[in-house]
Amino acid sequence: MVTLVGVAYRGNIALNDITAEFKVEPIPDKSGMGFGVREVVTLIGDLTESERVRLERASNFCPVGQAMSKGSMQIKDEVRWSSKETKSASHVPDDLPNLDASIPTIPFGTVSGMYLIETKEHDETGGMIHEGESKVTIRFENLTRKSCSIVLGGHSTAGLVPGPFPLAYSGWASSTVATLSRLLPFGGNGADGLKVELFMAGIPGGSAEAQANASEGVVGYRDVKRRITVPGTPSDIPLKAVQAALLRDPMSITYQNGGVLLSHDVVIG
Amino acid sequence: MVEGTSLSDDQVKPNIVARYVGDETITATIAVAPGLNGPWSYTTGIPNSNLDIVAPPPQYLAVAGWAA
Repeated sequence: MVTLVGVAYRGNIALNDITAEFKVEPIPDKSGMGFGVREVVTLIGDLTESERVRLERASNFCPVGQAMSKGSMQIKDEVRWSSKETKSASHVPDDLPNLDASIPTIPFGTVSGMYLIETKEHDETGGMIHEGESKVTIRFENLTRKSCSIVLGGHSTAGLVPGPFPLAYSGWASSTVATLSRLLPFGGNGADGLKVELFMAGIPGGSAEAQANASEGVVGYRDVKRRITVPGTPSDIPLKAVQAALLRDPMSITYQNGGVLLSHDVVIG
Repeated sequence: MVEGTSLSDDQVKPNIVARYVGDETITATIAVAPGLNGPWSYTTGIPNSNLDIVAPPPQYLAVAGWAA
């Protein structure tokens, strides 16, 4: 949402408010990702058709969304064992082992974003200096209780909330940990000590450049280094087992191959 | 048209760290290095067929970043 707020500001588009609704669906056979999303963006304002089209294109190419829908991440992997050995895992051989364990299916749910317009920041001349923040409500099906969480993300001077990209990446790092914890042959201590670290370069021109790219329909490829620390030694947890597990991680597949977006609608509210 | 960013070889501190903290739970922390922003920590849950999920699965956190 904050991408569209920035694009609207720079294009002198009278966007008064915006919401983003995602439905999350488990799809067991969807290219290994295991899930898909349906997105509806609602634009509120007195918009011309050309302005709506421009914002729709920006929505299609928002930096965070394009990483998942178009697969714009270039990942370098490194595996480190608690015994201190470290190996590159970026070259994936053909003879990876079959891992018998399965990845758990995620539940149905929704992710609803509300723009907090009062958090938009301006300088003394009235120019926008930060797009502000969004409140995102996550709801998902559970066995015995309703489950709802709220997170904040966006761009603000005080840095009170994380940016949308880091927020999304924290889900990716967590997904990697979840997948490895289920698939690797850990011994008696289980997956204790399993850790994933992400090293990311910033976008050279910051959010302004990312928004300009979005409004022009540009795919921005980003390099990320991922270090996976596993307990034990390479003989306990072989490198090829880690590589085989990474190829089955839902978010890693999504970020490398795209295709998670099942439908995308932009409407005037 | 394609543009990109490259990771500097001298970046020694991670931006994000996720840790396994039990059979059902993972914690992730953003902005772990000293700086003006953060850190922010999030708990995610690993789905299973027998127990309630304690927190949103990781994919939901990624979609939340997309929504924001």
